[in-house]
Amino acid sequence: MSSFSVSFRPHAGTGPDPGSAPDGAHVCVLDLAGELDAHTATEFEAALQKCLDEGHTRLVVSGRDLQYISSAGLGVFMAFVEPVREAGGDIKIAALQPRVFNVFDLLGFPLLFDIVDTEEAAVERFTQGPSTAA
Amino acid sequence: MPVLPPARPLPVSRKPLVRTLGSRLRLRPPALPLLRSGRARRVLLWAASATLFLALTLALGGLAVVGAPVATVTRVALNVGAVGLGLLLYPLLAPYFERGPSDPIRALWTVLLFALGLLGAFFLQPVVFGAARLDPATGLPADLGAAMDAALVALLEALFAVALLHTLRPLVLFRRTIRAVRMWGAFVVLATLAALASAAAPPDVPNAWPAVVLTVLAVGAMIYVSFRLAWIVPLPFRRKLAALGLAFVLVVVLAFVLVQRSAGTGAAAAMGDSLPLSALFSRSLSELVSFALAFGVLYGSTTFLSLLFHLPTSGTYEQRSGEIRAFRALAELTGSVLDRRQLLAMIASAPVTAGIAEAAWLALVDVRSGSLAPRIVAAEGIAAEAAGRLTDAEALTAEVATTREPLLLGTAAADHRVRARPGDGIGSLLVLPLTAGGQAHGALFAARAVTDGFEEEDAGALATFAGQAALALSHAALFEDALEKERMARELALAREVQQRLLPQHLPEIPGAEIAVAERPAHEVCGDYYDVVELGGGCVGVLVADVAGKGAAAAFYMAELKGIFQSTARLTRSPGAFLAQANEALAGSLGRHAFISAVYGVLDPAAGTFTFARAGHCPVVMARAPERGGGHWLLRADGLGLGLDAGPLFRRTLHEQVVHLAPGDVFALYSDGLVEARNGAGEEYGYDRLTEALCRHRGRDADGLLAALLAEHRAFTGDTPHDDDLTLVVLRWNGRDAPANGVADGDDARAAVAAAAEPPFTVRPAFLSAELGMRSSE
Repeated sequence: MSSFSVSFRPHAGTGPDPGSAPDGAHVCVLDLAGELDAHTATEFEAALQKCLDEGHTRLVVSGRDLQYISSAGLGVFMAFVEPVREAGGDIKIAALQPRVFNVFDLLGFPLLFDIVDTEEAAVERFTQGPSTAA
Repeated sequence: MPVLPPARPLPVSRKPLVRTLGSRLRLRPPALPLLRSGRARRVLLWAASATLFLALTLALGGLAVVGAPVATVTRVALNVGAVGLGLLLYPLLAPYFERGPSDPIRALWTVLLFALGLLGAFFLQPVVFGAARLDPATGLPADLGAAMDAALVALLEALFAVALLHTLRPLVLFRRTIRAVRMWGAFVVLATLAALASAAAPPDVPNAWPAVVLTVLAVGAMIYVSFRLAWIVPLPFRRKLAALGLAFVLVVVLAFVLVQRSAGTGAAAAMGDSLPLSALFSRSLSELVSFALAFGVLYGSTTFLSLLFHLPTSGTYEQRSGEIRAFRALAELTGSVLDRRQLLAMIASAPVTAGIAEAAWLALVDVRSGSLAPRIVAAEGIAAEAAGRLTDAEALTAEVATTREPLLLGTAAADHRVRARPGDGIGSLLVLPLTAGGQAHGALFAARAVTDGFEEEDAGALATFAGQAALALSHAALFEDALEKERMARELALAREVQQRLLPQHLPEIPGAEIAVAERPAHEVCGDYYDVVELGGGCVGVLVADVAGKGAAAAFYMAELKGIFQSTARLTRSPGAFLAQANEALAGSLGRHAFISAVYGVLDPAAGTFTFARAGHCPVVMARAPERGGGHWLLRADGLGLGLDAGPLFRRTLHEQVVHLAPGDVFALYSDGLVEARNGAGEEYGYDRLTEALCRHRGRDADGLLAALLAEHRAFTGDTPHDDDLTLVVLRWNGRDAPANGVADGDDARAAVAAAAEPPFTVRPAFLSAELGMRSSE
């Protein structure tokens, strides 16, 4: 059985109030670790749903420790990006390992999502206005 | 001796209470074979006792008739014999008091009846025999009549004493401890020794100091065992009352027996001194009986007093034990219910039904619902909506899930997670974690309208219940899962059957090209799809697609794709145009999770081209023979997965790649299951190995190449269980004619040969930005 975990943390911003992007809105970071496949996708889904329920719409998904993603895992991103964007936020993807990035890339995800090298860059993107993707 | 009917069991203890000397003797291997049979042993014991008694009586009678002073040795022998008789009676009577667990009321009642019987014998004795006298000169009965009289009374007293000890012993040893068992043994042994210590003295001589010391010790042990009264606590109120009355009467009657023995009707008239009549028979045996009587009086007194103090709290105890019993019953019940909804309702209502709480509700995390926040799934005595509004179930559940301990809020309103005001019915709140198998499932909430409404025991009882409830829940979940799996398996088997028919049953003949296909589903229903269709004009379309996700939904999308492919593929020879068309057709029906990656190639033998478009799919691997310039390529023109974007982005980004074929070119179109398959060490097969294998086996025909690629793949992955579907399509281009000199190749192919390792293909946007419509190839 594949192992997978997802955890939340507010982004440790540089402002006086940690966890805030410079314009005051909260950026929530989800750390993915392990293998995101059809078995573990529900867990990721539940985590994103919790973010939405709590009103967090500025989400950075950090894939530093993500070893593998299957199409079911990618499906979760697709399922949530629309409601998140409708709520005025975005899902940005950061720090993917090359092999995992390749999976995103093959499907054309870079055209749909902001995929950046570091978490900081992802948070930065939130300050530059709406998503650059279509 | 009356044989007791089987006694009723004590309310709580399930262990047999009685394990007497007799039963222990029986456990030992007897010395004589005769003694192995219980019946023979009993007969032997009876015979020995009777013989001993008769011998003692006759000896004493004879000595009384002679009337001479007796030697100390004779007196000691007589006393030891009499005590021995008592010790024989102990195992002899044991079986009659060993009929299963005994009931305290019945025990007290039995002792009382025996005591009354003995008292009756005392009153009858002077009427029948007249006064018995001690001869002060010899310290023996004055005559034969007195000797017989004393012997009979001593026997009755000994029987009574043994019966008393047998009857009270189970009460003393209720909830036995090693210490209690030892003290009981010490009492019996010390009393016997104390009695034997005066064996040499005539009945009317005061005890010497060894006897006094032993007596004091025996009394110490007696006092200890007299405070073993644990059986009182679980008695219901009415039975406590009955026991109280019986204990009182028993103390009075036993005290009366004691008095009557030495001063009244049961006494021997001596020189200004009153002795128990039995002392004429044997001073030691008589003292032993005195110990038993004293113990009876003492035990009756402690019982009486203890009952007196326990009566006022009896109601509380009964209520508590009633609640706990109710809980146990509920806990057992919940263990047998597998229907989840029924189970939830039962768990929520249990604290209320048991009378511990006035309202209770259940908050559970259900990962399947797609949310980590616990939801209130059942409530009793309060509306689920109100429970959710008045308390922050999420925060409270999170806390108990972390601490794994019950959380008791004596004044609920003082906690920031409780929003209840007085009158809302949540004065005090108890939150219990539901954990099973190390996993927190949620929490059980119990509320009372008053503040500080819960006691420690409530928390304990509820925590135990919550533990069992959590187990029951996880059992129910397992059961549900198993049912679900079975249902799924049936459905999937059906879907698999349908799906198999969706795959092409035979591949078309392509002039100049060979094609070979392998597919291996990881599950019953596979998300992979491939198809080969003749497009007319000699062109052939080859599609490989992978539906995200598995199972029945994947099969449906696959069926839809098949429909689109079969109906629209022939309308165009542009792979890009087909994929754009398919994307738009699928956009309406794909769920928001779902997308399909696909690669579509159109082989045009006449033009000597193989044109690809890739919608998010794995790149096509191509290898060319060295004599044609050699080389290998991953063909990955840009393109979004189908269903990822319903708008113009898909068309804008989609590119086509045209390969100008040279004879001997081989192509592998496959699903990600091939390259992402891992070996035992966790390494992926990867593109490099695939490319390398394709190059190495390039010379074989399509079937041979396919077999070689699969064999290498299998050799790499070994026995590692595959969890993704695998599809592999191999296409080999042999050339339109005999491709010996390459004359038959198109101009582009010749150019590729000349350019050696230059990529033999061109990439172009599938659609020019000016015309985003369907582009016809003709």
